[in-house]
Amino acid sequence: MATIDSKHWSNLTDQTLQAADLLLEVLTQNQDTDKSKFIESFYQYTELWQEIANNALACGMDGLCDVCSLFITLALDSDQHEQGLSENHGQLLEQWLELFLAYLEAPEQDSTRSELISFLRNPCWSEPLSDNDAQILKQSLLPPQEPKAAEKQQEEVSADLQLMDGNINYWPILKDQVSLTIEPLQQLLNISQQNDQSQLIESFTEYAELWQEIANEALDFGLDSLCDVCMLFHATALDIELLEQGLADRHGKLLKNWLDRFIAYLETPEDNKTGNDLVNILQDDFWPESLPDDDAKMLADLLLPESNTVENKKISIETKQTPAPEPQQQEPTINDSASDLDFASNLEVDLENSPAEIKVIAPDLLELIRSEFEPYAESIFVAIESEYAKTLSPEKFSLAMLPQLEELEMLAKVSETLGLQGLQQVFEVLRNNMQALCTDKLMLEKQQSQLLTSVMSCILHYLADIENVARRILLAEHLQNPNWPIPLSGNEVRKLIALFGYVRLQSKADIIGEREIASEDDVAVTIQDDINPELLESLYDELPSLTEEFSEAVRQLLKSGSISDVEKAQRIAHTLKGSGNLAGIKGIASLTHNIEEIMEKVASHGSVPKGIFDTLLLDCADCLEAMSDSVLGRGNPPDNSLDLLQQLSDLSYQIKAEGIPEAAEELSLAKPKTEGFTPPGSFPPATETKPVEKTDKEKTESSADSVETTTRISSSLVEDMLRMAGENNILTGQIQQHLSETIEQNLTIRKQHTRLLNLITELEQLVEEQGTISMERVSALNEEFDPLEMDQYNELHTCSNRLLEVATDAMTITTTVSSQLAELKDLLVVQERLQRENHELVLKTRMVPVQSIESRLQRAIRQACRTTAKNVNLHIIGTDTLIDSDILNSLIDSLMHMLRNAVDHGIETSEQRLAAGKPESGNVTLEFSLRGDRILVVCQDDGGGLDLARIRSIAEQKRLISSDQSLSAKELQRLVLKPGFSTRDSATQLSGRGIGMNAVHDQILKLKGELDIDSQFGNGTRITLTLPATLVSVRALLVRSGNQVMAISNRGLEQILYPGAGKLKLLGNKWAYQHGDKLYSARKFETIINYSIAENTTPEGGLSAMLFKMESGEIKAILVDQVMDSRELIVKNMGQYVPKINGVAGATILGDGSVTPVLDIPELLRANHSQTMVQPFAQDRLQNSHNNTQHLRRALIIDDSLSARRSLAQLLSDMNYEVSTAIDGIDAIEKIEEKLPDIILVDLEMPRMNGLELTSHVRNRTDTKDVPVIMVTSRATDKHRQQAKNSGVDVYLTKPFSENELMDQINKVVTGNS
Amino acid sequence: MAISTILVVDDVASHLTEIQGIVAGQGYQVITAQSGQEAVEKAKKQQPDLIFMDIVMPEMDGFAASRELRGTAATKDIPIVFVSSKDQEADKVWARLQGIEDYVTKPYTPEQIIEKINKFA
Repeated sequence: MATIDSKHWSNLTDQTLQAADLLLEVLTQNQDTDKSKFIESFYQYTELWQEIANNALACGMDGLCDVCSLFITLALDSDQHEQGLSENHGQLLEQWLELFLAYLEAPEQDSTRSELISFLRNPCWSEPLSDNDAQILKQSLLPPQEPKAAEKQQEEVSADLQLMDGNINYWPILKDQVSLTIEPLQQLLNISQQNDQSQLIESFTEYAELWQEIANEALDFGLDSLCDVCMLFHATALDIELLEQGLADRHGKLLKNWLDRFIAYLETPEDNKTGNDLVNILQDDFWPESLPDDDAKMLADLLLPESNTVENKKISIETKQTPAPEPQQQEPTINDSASDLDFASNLEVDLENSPAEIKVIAPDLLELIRSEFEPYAESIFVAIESEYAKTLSPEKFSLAMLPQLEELEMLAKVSETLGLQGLQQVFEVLRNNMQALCTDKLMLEKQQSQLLTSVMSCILHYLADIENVARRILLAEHLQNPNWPIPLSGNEVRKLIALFGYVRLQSKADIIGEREIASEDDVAVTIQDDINPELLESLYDELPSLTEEFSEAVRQLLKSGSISDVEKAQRIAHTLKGSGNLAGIKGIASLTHNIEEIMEKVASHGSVPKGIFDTLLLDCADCLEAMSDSVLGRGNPPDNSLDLLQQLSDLSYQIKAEGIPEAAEELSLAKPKTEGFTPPGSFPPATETKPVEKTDKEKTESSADSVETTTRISSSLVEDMLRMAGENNILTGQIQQHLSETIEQNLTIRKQHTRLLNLITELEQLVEEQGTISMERVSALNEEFDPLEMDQYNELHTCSNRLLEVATDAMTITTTVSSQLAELKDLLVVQERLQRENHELVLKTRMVPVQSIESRLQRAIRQACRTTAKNVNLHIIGTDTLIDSDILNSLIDSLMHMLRNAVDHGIETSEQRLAAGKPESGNVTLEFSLRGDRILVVCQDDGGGLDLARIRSIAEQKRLISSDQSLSAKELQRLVLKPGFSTRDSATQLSGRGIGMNAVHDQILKLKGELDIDSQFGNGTRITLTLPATLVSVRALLVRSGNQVMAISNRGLEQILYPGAGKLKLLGNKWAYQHGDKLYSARKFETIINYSIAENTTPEGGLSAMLFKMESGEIKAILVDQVMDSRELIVKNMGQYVPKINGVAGATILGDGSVTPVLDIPELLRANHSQTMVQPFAQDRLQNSHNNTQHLRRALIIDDSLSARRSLAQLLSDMNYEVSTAIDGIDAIEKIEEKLPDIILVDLEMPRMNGLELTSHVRNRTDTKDVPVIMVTSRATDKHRQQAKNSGVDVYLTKPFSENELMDQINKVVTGNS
Repeated sequence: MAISTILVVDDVASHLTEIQGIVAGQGYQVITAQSGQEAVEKAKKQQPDLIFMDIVMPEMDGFAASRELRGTAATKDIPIVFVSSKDQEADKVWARLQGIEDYVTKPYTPEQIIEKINKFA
């Protein structure tokens, strides 16, 4: 019960006085013959009382409201008064007014209340108030005197206890009821004198019932122990079996004593004696089974109102819940009944059947049920009334009513859903009874229809205030009415009342709940482990788009402030919450839960209060996007999520507790910890209309694309696929190389065959000739023999013929092999192409469009804008550019930093911009494009640009440069990339901590990219990033330096200049390479990798130059012996055992299976510059090349025999020579033209041009006359030796020779020569 | 009533996948719909034996869709079970008042869904 506000009270009085005036008018008009005016004011009068009733309800006087309503029903029924008021009636109305005013003046006085109630009990009314109801109503008219704030929140059980408190006095009611038994007892005692057994029994039973009622009453008031005592008395003293010999005197006396003591007890329940006396009666010897002492003592204790201990509470629950056996059956088991008091043992069992806990129900839900039930009840009323009037046959009417029962069934279900077991039972009972009424066609019986009407109004009353105990009891007892076809038993009623007790109206405290403190756990963004992969996949698809959609909705909402946008945001938040819960991502679920709650409140509020969300919603939207990114492994979880969740839950709490704040400015100011934000509202929340529209468009496009199904595979699998594709490529390369060698060899075999055939032809001729000669000789010796008869002749011919045949066969096979090899080559070409495509496809799986990070970039800008209170639009161009996901992920931090930098340092404040004649809001453009196999990212802002003078002064201050150092604009601009450089005087939260651009630069370098800054003071800054599109394969040049083939990554490569394209010049002590009119500083490749020591020796003319652009922008020329090829290489890192070597990007396997390092020239030069050498490689090379001259010695080996060529080549190559081979003299001359050899090894006999001829040629050439020539031959005659010496051969070696011999000779001629 | 075909309605693909997986895992034939409108059309055409319906959907929400289904002779007897993370009791009451047979609150366990199916089987 609530406090009675004196204001309300005086309001009531005022209204009643008003009513008095109006009543006067009504009564005056009642005199007129024209009743229209009267009816009007009578109606007004009724309404006024209705108002008074409402008012009474508003100030918590439910009883008064009931009384007023009853008065209206009884006395102001307009239907009865259309013909005017009877005189009596008019007087009654006046009387009521007086009584009512008297009551209002002294509500606590018993007399005022009694009179008010007795007025309603006046038999002149159509339905005067029943005794029971009158008592309850009278009690409820008592205004609460000591209002307790906590009362409402207390549980029903404790409310029950409170009823026992002296303050809320139910004792008089009980007393009244008990006093009602005086007369029947007297009658009973009289009858017992008359010896009329049957009458005695009848009146005894009636009397017993009275006590049953008292017991019930006691229970209803929460006086459980009193109820127990009454029941015990009922079972003990009112047992019909005791009447066998009529009513014993002793019995009658005890009954009378009981009554007296009971009344005495009710008068002073707190007196221990009264209770004791009462219980003592039950111990009387007269009873067949009297109460044991222990139980009696306990009962007496329990009867003390002060002993409202915990046990007492339990007992009350127990007794309420235990459907006590019917009293009649209870008689022989009085001990059992007593043992019921042994509550402790029964308690657990009993609680099982009861609702687990008090059900808290929201008022609006009850209202929902009420609003559903009310029209239904109305329709039943109307039906009964109208059909009654029409006197439809009861059968037909019942039939018509049957379908109406469904509604009750549904209401029962609803109640069940809500956990309102009591209400559910009520509806069910009502339904069953109505059904029975319909079947029995009793619907229209006056008694039943009245009952129906009254129970329905009881239900409505109950629904209007479910905590009102009186209304509960009224309702429950109505169902006990014997006029029902299936009435509830007393126990069922008690049980029902108990069930009613388990429902409590949701209080404000319930709605608000506790202010929740968010924990780290609440913002976790980990996905639960056992999630179904398919689900995860669709989750991955959805999360980004949902969070993006939410972000968009929030922005729209802040812009428009329309409720439909709130609802949209709410819906998305709801969906996100569902997804979050589904995957166990607590962070998303808890954030969106709070957002949804707030949105719901805002939506029902009807308008979006200005400034209520401030940046909180935007922050949350960003946070959700970041969470989603994090879930997808695209970034770290946001670090402000905990803070945001707390803010949200605080806001939600505040809204629940105080409603939507109207003056929301306070709220935004009170918003904690948003790090020195400038006051909100200084910039409009919707700053990004343009990009937003764009993303929208793209989203629809991309969603159209997303129809294609996708499969998620682990990145390690892609990695493996990529590796396999790479290996395959390498292998194909190797096969190709082997194949072309085989083809070449096959060609040689063919050539050899041709020669073989020629030789065989020669041989045939010789055999022919020889045969003829010998035949002549033979025939000369012996003419008897015919040449044909000569065996010798035959054998020789046959042999040579067979030789020819075999050679021809071999030739045929060789031809077949050739064509097969050719086919194989074609196939291999196809295979290579397929493999390359396969490789590209696999590479593509790692490619993601820039679009995937677009929202994060936009977010970075938004956050930066909010922090700096600047207004900047970000335009992202080329969002469909595909970039290796590894690179994109490593790039994103840098990009965000650049964007923040652009906003913080680049873009000026609005005032400055306007003063400079620029548009108020700044623009930052981020453009992604592919250039060859490189990605170009250009970040351009239209801000202030770099202030070179400032950079210079700061750099000097920080001693990054000396004051006399002269630097170009470019060099000055690059100073910002130095560690520890910051032009800002103070570091802001965003940027300017002096590690920013340096960190960006480092990251770009790590990605094998380049960073270029270009800025014009006043006109903005342009930062260009150049990155490889993928880190896995590298476009590389294969260069040869000495006999070593190395791969050079094309990073920074500007141009390759082939020998003769430019000139080398010596400038001071440094080499320079001149190409056209440009001069580049030049270095030999070998010197960079510490391959050669002689840096300053004159490089030979025939070198290729590669122009590389350094990170600083300077272009350097690198000279190599030969640029062999340019190809796509799979770069592998050197494995975990090799530490990072500056300048070595990794290693790759070449077509011939050899492993070569992939060098990164700009990095190498940078490393060289900073004196960190590529030591491991340098040493390796030094050991390898014991012959450390400028270039390797070249050897030319000329032999028509393949095996000889090969074995010699192997030997010389092992001796660290660069070997080339030729098959005969003519071929050799071509090779010499190509490149001069340092030593020539030549065979003597060769087709086309033999060794002797070749040596003469070599000696006659000026450029080769000093080249040592070693002749290796099988001719061992002095004549040959002499001829060789004549032609200029330095060493003459005969086959077979030992390798040592040859090596000695070679070394001898070479060292001797040089 | 023997249940062979079950219509599952949710506007969010992942939620749809989740419940679809559970229902299909029990050997029922599953029809899916991603909007209230689609649900109504499919229910009319394919006459499922049971419908699991999300409440919160854009445009035509679960309530509207089930009203439509209830109002159509061909579909009025198909039992509908609402599936929604709307943990608000008012929705349950509304569901009941609209004659919706049952209600499952997200997040749910597969057992809960199966239980509902068995209830109507």
